[in-house]
Amino acid sequence: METIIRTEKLAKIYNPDTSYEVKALWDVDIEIKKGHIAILSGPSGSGKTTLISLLGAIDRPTRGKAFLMGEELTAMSDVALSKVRRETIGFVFQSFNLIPRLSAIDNVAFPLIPMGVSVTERHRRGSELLKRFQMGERMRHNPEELSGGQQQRVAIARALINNPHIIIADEPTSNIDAEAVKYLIETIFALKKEGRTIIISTHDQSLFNLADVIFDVKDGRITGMREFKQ
Amino acid sequence: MAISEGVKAESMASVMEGADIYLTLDQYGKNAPVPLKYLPDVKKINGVMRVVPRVLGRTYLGDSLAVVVGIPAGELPPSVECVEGKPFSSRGEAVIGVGLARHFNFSVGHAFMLGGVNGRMLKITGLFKADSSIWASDLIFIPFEDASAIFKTGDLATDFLIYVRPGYTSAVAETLKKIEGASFRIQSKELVKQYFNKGFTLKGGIFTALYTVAFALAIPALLVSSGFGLSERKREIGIFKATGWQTSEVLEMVVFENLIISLSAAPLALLISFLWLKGLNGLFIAQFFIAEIGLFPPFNVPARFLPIPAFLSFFFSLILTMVGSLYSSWRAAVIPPAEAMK
Repeated sequence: METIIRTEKLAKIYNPDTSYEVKALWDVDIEIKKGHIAILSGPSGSGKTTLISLLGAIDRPTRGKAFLMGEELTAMSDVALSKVRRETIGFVFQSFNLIPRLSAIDNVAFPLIPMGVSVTERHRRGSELLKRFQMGERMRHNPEELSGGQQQRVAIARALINNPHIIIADEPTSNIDAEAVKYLIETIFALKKEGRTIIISTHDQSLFNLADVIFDVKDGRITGMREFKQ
Repeated sequence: MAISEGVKAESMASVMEGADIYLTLDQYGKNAPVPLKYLPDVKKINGVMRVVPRVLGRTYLGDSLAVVVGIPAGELPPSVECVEGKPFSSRGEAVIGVGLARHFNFSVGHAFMLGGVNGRMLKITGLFKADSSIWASDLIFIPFEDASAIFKTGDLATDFLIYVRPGYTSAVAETLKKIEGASFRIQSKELVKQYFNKGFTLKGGIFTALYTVAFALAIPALLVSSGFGLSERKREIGIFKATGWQTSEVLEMVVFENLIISLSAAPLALLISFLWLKGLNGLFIAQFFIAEIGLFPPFNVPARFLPIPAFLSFFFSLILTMVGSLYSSWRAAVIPPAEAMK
């Protein structure tokens, strides 16, 4: 199966060459296949979020290389990285990162603004996605008027608005209740069926059953890899 | 600026209706009283239609400082229109502005003492309303002789107002220079207009300078507050970048937002200034443009709203919002989104 993401000696060091230096990630070599669900597992502070940020092209490594569909992410300009994020990756953040002053539908649709998509089309696509995630009734509500699970569904809808190949979710179960977790698992499964690659960082074992591959992360290093046949 | 323009407009109207030449003696480059003995010589000059000697002074009327103008009977300026009663015709009579009359509850027929213990008892024959609201507030017209007695000017006048035939101003001025034994200071209507313009430009300039200082202080203040205290906005920009927005697109959005803010702020600023001037009659602010009027202006503060200050308010608000947000937004947009969202 085709490799969609690959890293070589990827490292992220905060405050390098100072007394506050932190090696958040060190010599990470991983490969993720297209259409797989990959889980980065490990305790809090192990470096999962740092690794997932580097894979999602929202942060830059201190050294090492990351490749996305054969293209070296780490060598790309800011403009090229933005293009990758726009066209290839959908990110679901741990704290959802919705814009408080925008309604649910506007939060979902705003990534389409710089692409020159008309307001009508943006709203059509946004409402379609929100309805898919049973949020049709609450699309005019602002994030503060939504529960954690509902906010997460808005965040997932936003990640899908550009129809990306890769969905990345950082600790997706940490801010939602059990019912929402169940719904999330169904959603992830449905997205995998659509052929998307999904990368999840979590220490929640309820998601492990979904994984094609689990990378164990500890102290900024990959300490193990488990592959499963789904 | 609207007050400054309003006062300027009223002053200009007064100048335009005033004499063609203002004649005084020259004392080291300043105005000095002119002896009445020159009156016949001036009247004889070819082109002169009318000469009005005038005594100008200030004195207290009750608790108010009033400007007293002593002129011969029948020589009230055309801009001074009696709304009640009639102009004075003999000594011991006076015409006062409606603002002053309202302040003292005076009406036609009332008498008042002007000039302290050695002053004169004057009977009000008329109340006037002038084109200029400032004039109508504290001006008293009385006969020349009474003013001369109150201010003890003897055979001197503060100045002569000379009205000439159209096109004769230069010729009359030249002839005045040739009158023997006098060193006149001749100020034409055009020169007085220039003085006013300079005065108001200076006043407007001082206000603009103060505004510029405030503006200059506001820029670093905004930079400090928005550039270094950025948190929510920085996070928002991080989210935009994380979802695929380019730095240039983020900045484009910021510019558009600033434009909307400025377009809303400018009419709001104009509305506030309009309400301040028309509703509160320039409370507090008017004293910076009109001397000695205090916190509560006793008359309707003149104001004119011109397009340039309106445009400037839009322009300045645009510059301020741009400076306050563009740099900090750019800084937030060029760092990795993961860092901006922290």
